[in-house]
Amino acid sequence: MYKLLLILKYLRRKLAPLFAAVAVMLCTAMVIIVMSVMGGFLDEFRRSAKNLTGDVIVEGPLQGFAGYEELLGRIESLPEIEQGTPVIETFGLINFRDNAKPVRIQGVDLADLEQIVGYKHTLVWTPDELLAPMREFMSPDSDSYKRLETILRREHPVDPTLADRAEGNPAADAALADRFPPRPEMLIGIEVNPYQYRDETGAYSLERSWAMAPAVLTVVPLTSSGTVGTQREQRQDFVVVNEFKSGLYDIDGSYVFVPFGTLQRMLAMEERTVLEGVDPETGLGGTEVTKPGRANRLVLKAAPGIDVNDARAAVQETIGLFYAERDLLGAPPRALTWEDVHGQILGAVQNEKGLVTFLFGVIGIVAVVMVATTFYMIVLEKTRDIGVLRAIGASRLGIMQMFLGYGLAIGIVGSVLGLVIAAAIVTNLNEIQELIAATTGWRMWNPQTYFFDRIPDRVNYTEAGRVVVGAIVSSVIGATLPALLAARLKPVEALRYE
Amino acid sequence: MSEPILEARGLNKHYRMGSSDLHVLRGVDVELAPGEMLAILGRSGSGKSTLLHLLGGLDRPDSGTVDFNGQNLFRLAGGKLDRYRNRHVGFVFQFYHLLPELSALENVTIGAMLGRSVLGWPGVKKKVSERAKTLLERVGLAERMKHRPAKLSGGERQRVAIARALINEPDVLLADEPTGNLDIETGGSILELFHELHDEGQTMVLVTHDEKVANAADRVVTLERGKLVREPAGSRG
Repeated sequence: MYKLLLILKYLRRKLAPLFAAVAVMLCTAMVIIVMSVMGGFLDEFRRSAKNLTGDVIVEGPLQGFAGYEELLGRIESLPEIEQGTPVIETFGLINFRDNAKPVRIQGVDLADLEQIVGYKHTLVWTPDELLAPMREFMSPDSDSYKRLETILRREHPVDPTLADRAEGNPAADAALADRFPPRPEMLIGIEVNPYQYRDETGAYSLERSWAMAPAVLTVVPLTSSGTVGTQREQRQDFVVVNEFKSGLYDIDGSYVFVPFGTLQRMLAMEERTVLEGVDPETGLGGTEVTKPGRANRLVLKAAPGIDVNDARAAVQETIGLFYAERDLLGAPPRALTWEDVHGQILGAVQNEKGLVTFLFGVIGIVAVVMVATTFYMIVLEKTRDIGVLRAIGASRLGIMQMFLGYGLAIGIVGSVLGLVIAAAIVTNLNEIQELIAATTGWRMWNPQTYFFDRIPDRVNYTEAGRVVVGAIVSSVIGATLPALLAARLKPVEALRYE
Repeated sequence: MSEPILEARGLNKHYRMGSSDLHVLRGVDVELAPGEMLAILGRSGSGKSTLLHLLGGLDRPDSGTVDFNGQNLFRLAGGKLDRYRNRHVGFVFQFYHLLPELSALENVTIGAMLGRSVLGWPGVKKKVSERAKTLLERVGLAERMKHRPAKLSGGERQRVAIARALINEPDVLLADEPTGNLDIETGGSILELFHELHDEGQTMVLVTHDEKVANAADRVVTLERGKLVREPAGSRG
């Protein structure tokens, strides 16, 4: 009982343990803040990376592989896979108002994509935002405006049939033809537009947006063996209907989405009949051959509760069987998880988090040394009291327990306060930044450089709990050596100590 | 003479001070009867404090025995020796040795807290607290119980120390120069307190360099160069 009384008294009446507790508190807070922000960063990256990517991706050569529909059918019948859709991904140029920029073009059915990974939440502009500027030069009652509104409020912003209609009947939408010719539609990553940038609050501007503006895509069709064939590059006018922001710069700075069929035709990857064996000199002869349609990717959604790695393995096995059965030549497509696809950036962030946590953990050792030093000083200062306690009947074990308990108490007080402070700082990190920016003009987190508007501000309480336990254990460890010293003191010598 | 409560036989104690070897006690024999007030007189450095520490189980001799009620203290396991110090003897020191963080009352009760667990304490807390208050009233500190040692005078501190030594109703009170740090008047009143306690039957050993203090005891022994040179008959009337 005396131990408890003295621990409480020493905690309240001494400055030294206060310093030790503050050291423990700061170290705990520091590690929790770093882990929370870096962990939040990683979570954000993972969430962003999963956006628009899909759980499992089957990746074939750039020129694509035949039989993709059949392969997809096989894969979709696997219990591990819920759904999938074929995708063509290629490289091309986007041309917008005399600006050319290389992009990665993905041809995909957006209705399928919505079910598989969901893309709608990544769209930057709402129909209302897009309509607002239109009202400046259109009456909301006009037919043109109403037609535009109908287009903007469609379930999916991209209509995959538009290209066909434009080809079949150029005057289909005669009323809008001047301003909005019925071109095929596309979505572009928000950072594809070189004029788009984030202001200091991290927001994009609709004024700089390419939404509702025409753009041209140029691609180079490849033969089924992957060479540039007799076909020239293909150009196609599009209209940008909206922009998306997944949160991963890799995606948002280089991807555009167009309807699958449109891109397949542009790349001459659809099922087609060609003449083969034509005499090159006379241009006569030859036989009609049907070339199967091609796609170069399959985007798949794993069944609920299935680990993406298990799903990936099952898909890879199916691909192997499929290729073996058919005796197909060429390397079979590879199955990848979304983590494999973005492995580099995720790995980098993960490594960063691990490294920073380790470094701050090392700094945490400072807390142990602090506690040890403080306790050593307390033991020196309390040597005579230890003698007194021994004289009135305290055991060595009791003295040791008292100092260990004291370390425990300092660890608990310090680390719990540290947790409270860390939680307060982390959850208000963005507000704190605003305050600092408003008073000094300095921003620790520039949303123009990073891709998230906000500094991650959630505390992972499981991890924080581990840090707290670690800090408490460290404090007890720090107190151990001085506690042993105290217990070893001979009472007579301790009493004589001045 | 009744069976001695404390009996020391052939106590030897060396201290090593750098290269020199101090032979502090050289074969000391001393006995203490129940209810007796014994004074150990000696100059500073004569080994009287060491003898007191050995009697109180606070230190171990190089050779010799101290028997408490016939049991050799230095054969006791560590825990039992701690218990002996806690229950059977009470120490009073020249420099009071109160714990500065605790109030007078807490300094007294802590002796009773020792050896009681957190769970065992609430059951006896009230009783101990009552006894501590009675003791503090007994030593004339009824009004100073909540004060910390820093707020008390030397005499008052020594009274708290005496109350602390008595909290577990010890068989023997061991006082090491209890008046050595006090002025004559205050020292006198502390001695008066010892006499009153002795009159109530408290067995005690008083170590002092002051012959006047020693002469107040039932019996005085003198330590010189580590040996008891004289053990005169009781001089107190």
